[in-house]
Amino acid sequence: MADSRTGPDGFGDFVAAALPGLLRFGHVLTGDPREAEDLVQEALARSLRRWRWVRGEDAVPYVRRAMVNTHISRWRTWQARVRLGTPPDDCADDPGLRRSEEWDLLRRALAQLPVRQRTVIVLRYYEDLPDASIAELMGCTSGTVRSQAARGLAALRPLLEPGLAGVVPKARRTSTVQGGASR
Amino acid sequence: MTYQNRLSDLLHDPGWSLPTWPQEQALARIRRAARRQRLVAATLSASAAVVVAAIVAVPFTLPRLAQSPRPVPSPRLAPSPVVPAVGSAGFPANIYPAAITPHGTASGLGACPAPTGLQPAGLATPAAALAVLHHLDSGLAHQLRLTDRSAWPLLTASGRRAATMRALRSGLTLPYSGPLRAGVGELAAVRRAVTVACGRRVMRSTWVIVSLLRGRPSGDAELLFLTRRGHLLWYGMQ
Repeated sequence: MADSRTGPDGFGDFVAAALPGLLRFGHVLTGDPREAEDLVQEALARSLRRWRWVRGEDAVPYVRRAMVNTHISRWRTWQARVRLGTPPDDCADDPGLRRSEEWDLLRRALAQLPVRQRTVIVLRYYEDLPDASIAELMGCTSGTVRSQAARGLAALRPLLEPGLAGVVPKARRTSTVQGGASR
Repeated sequence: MTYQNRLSDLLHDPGWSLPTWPQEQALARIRRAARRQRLVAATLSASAAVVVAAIVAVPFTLPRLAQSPRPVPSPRLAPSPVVPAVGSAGFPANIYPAAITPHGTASGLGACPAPTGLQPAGLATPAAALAVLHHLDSGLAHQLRLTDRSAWPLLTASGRRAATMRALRSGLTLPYSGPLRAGVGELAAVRRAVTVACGRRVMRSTWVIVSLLRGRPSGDAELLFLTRRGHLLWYGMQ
């Protein structure tokens, strides 16, 4: 039975449990806290509309798939019209979060990748998905996934290595480096 | 540690975490988004149905048109709903003054807001503009209260335009919301067009929301708002 406060059966519980991970995934995928929240909202709304069918399977992969597809289709719309700038040095999204300099370095490096390369990198190294699953998710071939990943890695290497070489992973220094929107 | 492992570690860095939403707020937000999505889907379905009906009807209609000298009335020429006259009850003339004719046709604006009583944007303008946008798909009487008289023909003359408005209000995202005078890039062209058509005073009072939406060739639309005597009103779209 649907509850007016929690939505259809189990949806409220699902949101409560999955939201932190989905927001985090959205942030990795987009690099922008606000964009991430928007993406999660749209994907969860879509899953709410289809909850009767979604809840039968694993809902988290469904929502993540929706996020990836929405993200790529949005980029297709914007690609030719808007060139996003580099992430700003300072944009308050949550001052309470302590973020490492390495994280900020990667955030900036990822922001310079084309969206499909970034998506492949995230799905492969954050979600640990095999290339075949990434290909299915993105509607392309495994070969395309491999080539996008290779290009993405090649682009990230020079951007990350000089910074990483100087930062010792054992004692990760932290600073209040804040993620930010690029608009 | 390989380069890929390091990359994987960094992608799992706590820095990617975002503050979660309170439960009630999260569900309300998701339900609103779901309603918007349903509305967009319904609008697109209705538009598709109209197109299909038109395609089906054309082969039957054209021969009859050729045979009959009597003109067939178009549904788009149906009489518009009557809108309140200037100064009528509920629509004071100092908030809803008569629209003025734009200079030239390049702006795409059919009419311009009267420059009387305009105020600069304030701290409340961003939220107010979003609230107006949110309610633009309500009934006509409510729509009229939320819009300047210069936009009333858009609300009454054409069902297609109203459908576009509903789609706009359900735009996927809002990439920009700010004063038109500060807009750069394509907004600079909109700024020039509004200045030429409606004058500098209207342009300087205009707040613009760029709505990104599907189904429109250009991909986005600029929604124009102004504040007159404390009332935020929508007045056009580019």
